[in-house]
Amino acid sequence: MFSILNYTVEHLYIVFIACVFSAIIGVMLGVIAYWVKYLDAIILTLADIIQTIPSLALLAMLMLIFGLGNTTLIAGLVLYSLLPIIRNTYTGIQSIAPHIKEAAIGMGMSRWQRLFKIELPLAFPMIFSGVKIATVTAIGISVIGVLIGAGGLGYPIYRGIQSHNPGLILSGAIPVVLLALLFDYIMTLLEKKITVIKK
Amino acid sequence: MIKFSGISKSFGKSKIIDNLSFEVKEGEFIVLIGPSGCGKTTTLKMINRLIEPDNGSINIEGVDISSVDTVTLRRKIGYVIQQIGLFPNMTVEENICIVPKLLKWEKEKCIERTKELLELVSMPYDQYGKKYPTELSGGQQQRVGVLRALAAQPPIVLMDEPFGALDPLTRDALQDEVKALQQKLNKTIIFVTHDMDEALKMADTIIFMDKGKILQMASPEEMLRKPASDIIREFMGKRIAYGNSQDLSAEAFMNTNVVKTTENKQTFECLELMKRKKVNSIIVTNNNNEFRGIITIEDLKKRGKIEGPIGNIVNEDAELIHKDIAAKEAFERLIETKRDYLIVVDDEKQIIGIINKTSMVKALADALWGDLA
Repeated sequence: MFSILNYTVEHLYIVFIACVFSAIIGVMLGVIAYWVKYLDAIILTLADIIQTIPSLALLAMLMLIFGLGNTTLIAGLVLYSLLPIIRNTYTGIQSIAPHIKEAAIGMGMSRWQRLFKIELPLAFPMIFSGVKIATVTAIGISVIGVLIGAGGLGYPIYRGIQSHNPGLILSGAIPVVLLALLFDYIMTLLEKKITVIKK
Repeated sequence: MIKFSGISKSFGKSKIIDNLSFEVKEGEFIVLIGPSGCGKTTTLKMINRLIEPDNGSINIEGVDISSVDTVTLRRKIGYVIQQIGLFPNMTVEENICIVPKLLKWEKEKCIERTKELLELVSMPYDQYGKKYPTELSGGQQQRVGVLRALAAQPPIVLMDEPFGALDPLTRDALQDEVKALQQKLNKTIIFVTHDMDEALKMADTIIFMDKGKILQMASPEEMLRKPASDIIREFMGKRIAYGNSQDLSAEAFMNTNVVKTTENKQTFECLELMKRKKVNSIIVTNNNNEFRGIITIEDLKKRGKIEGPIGNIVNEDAELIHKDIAAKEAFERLIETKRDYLIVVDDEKQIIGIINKTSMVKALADALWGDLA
């Protein structure tokens, strides 16, 4: 029982680190896609392609660079989580009413001031929902990290499969399902709250 | 203050602004008006460089604005747009304080300024300062929009159809408030509208544009009196005919629907005519359609059954006026002579109409409420 708790904590830790990185990188790429007109198609297509690579294949390829262990899994999760965050940042800013942007420009706000005072705050509910999708997906995908030597709840599941031990499989699988459901629930609540505040 | 010199701008193949030159004096309320696509909004947006001209230069206080950094320039020019454009993620206070904060004003000074401004439009700070734009009515939102533009005390304020989306009552109130603010604070305001009533009400000077050119730049008074082209006249609509009431002639408002007969008609015929036309007086003319006199039903009754031509019994005592006489003079004569009517004649002394108290009342009503007919 104690070990399951450990695995859960490690699992969450991996997902958390991955999501923080992908949120930072994803928002940055989303903003670049919005700022630099001809880059938007390239960035979004690339993120789309990464998303299409089977997760096991992606992790295997990253393993060649980062070796075995948690780092590879985190790198894989970051790449995997980018698409929803980039896309939501990009469309979130893009969909702000043109007259609000015009007012901001007309008042003499610089590009960075507009980004931090107007565009990112207004796009935040949408960015957050991108992060939610990324988090919930990452909780599920990180289970296969065990195949490239990473920790987390994938380990008891994998061991359970190898030793034909249904109890062991479930001891890993149930927490993963519960985590995914719990995060989805909590973040959906937060998402609604933010949307209400920002209207 | 602001000087346009030979400004042109094309979007693709269509020329939006065509060699535009004009000057705006300090403290002036300028209204740009014209049919849609005339280039008025483009002209406005060139002042804060939201649109850059292809040719020509714009000077503000002697400085060519193309040499000024856009961000610095815009912070010195207030900007109000039709869709208001308040930032929904900021409170009323934060919205108003945007430019002062960009200019690094002290926090206390920002709050002080917000209070002062909200006071100007009767929106107490304690009640509204911490509210979000969505909690305000449309009129209140645009008031905040105007205050936001005024916050950093810019000498120039640009307004792009600021009241276009408001209901008529709110629009009217805001027009009064903005006009009062402008006079009080001595701002130079450039205001775009397509509503002539608004232009006449607000402007010191109206610039009427069409197809990227200025058709006329004049005070409201002068534009009403002497519109420079048919398009302007059309835009002014009914205001114009009665606006220049000084130039209005007797002919313009006389009653042309008069019953006339010739002097050799028999009395009985005249009575029949009165009955048929439902009038109680007839103008009698000679064979050349010149005035001979007037006959009323009372005259006929008084004389009983008189045979013979009507010419023998007409009342020749009447006031004749020429059709080109000024309306004002005609009215004065009507009142002075205490007559019921004046006969309007043309150069050949032909009767073309009458002026009575009814036509006077109608002319007054038209001037007040537009053409009723």
